[in-house]
Amino acid sequence: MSQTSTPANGLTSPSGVHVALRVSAGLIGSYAFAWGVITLGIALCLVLGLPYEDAKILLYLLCFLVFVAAFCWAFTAQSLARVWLTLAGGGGVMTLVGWLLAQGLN
Amino acid sequence: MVEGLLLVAASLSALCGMGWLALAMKPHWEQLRGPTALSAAARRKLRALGSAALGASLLLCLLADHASMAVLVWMMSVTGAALAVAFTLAYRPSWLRWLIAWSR
Amino acid sequence: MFHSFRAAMTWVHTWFGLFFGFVLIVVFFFGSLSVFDREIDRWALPETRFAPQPMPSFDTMLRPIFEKIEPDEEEVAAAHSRVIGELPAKLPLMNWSAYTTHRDPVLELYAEFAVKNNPKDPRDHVHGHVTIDPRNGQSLPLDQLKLGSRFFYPMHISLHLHWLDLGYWIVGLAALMLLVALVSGAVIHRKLLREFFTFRPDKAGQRSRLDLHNLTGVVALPFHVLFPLTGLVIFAGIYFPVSETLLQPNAQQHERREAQTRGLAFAPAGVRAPMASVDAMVTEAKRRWAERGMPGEVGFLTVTHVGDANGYVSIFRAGSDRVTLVGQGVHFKAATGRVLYEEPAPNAIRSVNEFLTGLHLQHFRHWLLRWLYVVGGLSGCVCMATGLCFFVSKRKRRHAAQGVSGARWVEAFAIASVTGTVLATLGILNANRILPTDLPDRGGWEEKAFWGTWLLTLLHAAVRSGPARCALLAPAWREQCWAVAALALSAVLLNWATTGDHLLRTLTRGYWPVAGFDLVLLAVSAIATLSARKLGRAERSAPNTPQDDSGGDLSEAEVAHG
Repeated sequence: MSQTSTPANGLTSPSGVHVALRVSAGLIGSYAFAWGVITLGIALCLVLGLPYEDAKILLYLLCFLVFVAAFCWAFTAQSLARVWLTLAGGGGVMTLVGWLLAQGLN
Repeated sequence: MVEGLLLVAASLSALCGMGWLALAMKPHWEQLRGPTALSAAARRKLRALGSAALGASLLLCLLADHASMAVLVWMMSVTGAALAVAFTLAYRPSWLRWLIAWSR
Repeated sequence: MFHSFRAAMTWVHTWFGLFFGFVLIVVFFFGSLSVFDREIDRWALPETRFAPQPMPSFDTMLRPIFEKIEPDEEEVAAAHSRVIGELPAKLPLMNWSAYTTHRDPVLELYAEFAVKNNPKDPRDHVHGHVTIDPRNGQSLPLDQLKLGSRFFYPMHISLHLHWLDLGYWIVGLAALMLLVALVSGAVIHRKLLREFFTFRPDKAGQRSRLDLHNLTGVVALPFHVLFPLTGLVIFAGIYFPVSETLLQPNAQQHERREAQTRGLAFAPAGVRAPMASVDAMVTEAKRRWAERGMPGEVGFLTVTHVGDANGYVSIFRAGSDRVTLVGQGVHFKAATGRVLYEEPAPNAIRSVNEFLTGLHLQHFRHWLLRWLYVVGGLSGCVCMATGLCFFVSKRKRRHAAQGVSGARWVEAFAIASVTGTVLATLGILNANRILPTDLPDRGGWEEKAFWGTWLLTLLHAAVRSGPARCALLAPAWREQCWAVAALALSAVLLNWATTGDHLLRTLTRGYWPVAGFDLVLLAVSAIATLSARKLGRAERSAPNTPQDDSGGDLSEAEVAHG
């Protein structure tokens, strides 16, 4: 993705399309990633023998910190493709694995 | 009644503590003493006094309340104290001169 | 996208701070008011201005009142669209509950009624409620709006935007963006410790504004981190509804297991049964708490599966002396009064969760901490307001030169967010005193006064910020400050005129909810007057030159270097 205008203060400002893509990657990607961490996290806790409610509370306590970290990373990573892959892709994979694991424990 | 007095003492202690820590910084020291140099010894003493006062404040909070509550009260008192000190330094810095009256 | 980590963080802080700053000022302002929500209720409802009461006798007073509660008409009307077929004329009663704290003179009673034929949610239900005076069992009229707990507090958590829970989502996103702004702000502000106490009001324009922004942000950092985080954790079930979706089988399996081990039935048996003396159960619960070394009052009482053989009564201790809300639950079999289950001390995870929840919702008894919370909340408002003003002043001159009106609109919205929010609040307070007591849907009219006033402030700000195009300070700020001064004073005078409770009386009587709020209103009036005069002087002293600092705009580099 290329940069465009260069205002007088010397800092480049990104193009509108790139901004939109980066912001959606940050918001949607981080949300998906957080879902993945929660689902997989709860499933792993269930494997370790933790009661469901306790596992859920623990992951709820952690997930927002994960979101914030993912969001900040989305804006500092160089490659937009990598952001989408890691956050949305990774989130999707973790959600699937977590769900399958949890189903198996029923 | 006792709890009230302990909390007043804790607040005053936090206030003094933040005052001393602020005055251990050169720009704020110079607000009171002009371009007089802040010696390393004075800075150490101010920092020690400040930390001790904040520690005393925490202790007083723990004496006043249940532990989990006390930590919250202390944290917010330190915030309030820091704001008070910052605004005092901004508008009436001379009000803090008695905190360093011992250093001549 | 950016040439450095700091550049990225600067961009994120600037633009997400701008976008969500308006929402966050509103959330923090009404959050600060919500600390004293019940006290504001007393001011708004003069007939409830008496001392807080403990929960009264269930058997003699509460039970007959509970039995008369009807489902809320609006909720029933909404439920029609969710069900297949017709709703029965009399919806089956499921549960009763009552919750009280050490600050409640009046008691709210709730009932839940089952909505059975909803294909998407077998546990769908509607609510009914009533507010009573616990001293004599008299009900309060339903359309009396509790300004604090039923208007300012819901404003804080959901912005009164209920369609698809949109308000909860916006506030939640804003909370996350606040955390992002704090992280990015810490990255940008290199001299975090060195400039911890720095505030130079004598430095004109941008520098002093930035100082105040940094000061209020850094000094209250633990507060600014903990509150959005705990708020998010409280509503996490809305944002990540795992138990209702992906992990529903696991959640339900856990519930059934829990019900079995505790002896607390998941579903009613369908067999009718009488209810034993609940007062006796309360006495037993209090005895058990005292035995554990924590004597206390009832904070929360629920009856599940009312009138059924599987029914049980749950009694929780009010956590007035600690951070957690309620605890030490004791569950009794409703038909016999036998103890079914006494909750053990919570494990580590639950303790942390209960602490964080209680930290945010604050039902504890600690007046110093409550006022410190208000200080924290208002610091957040100042932080964001100065941030917005900094954004505007930085771009005003450039935009005015270019003939672009971006900064002017940001300033108009900033005015509506800051002085506008205060004016809307004062509008509803004045309306509360002016409107006739027997007006039908009085609460609805009060709410209209709020929204109407806010809209007026936005229009006023849009019209009276023209000078921003010439990079001068918008007169709208000063004018709205005068309006705040006037309306805050009139609220106090109207309280006196309509209830007879003037300051001298409330202070000598020691009735702090009303005395305290009147004093706060007078302080607001005084501060607004001083601000208006200061703004007036600033405007008069430099009629043609920009109100920004004489040293020129702070460049990006200067900002980035703190």
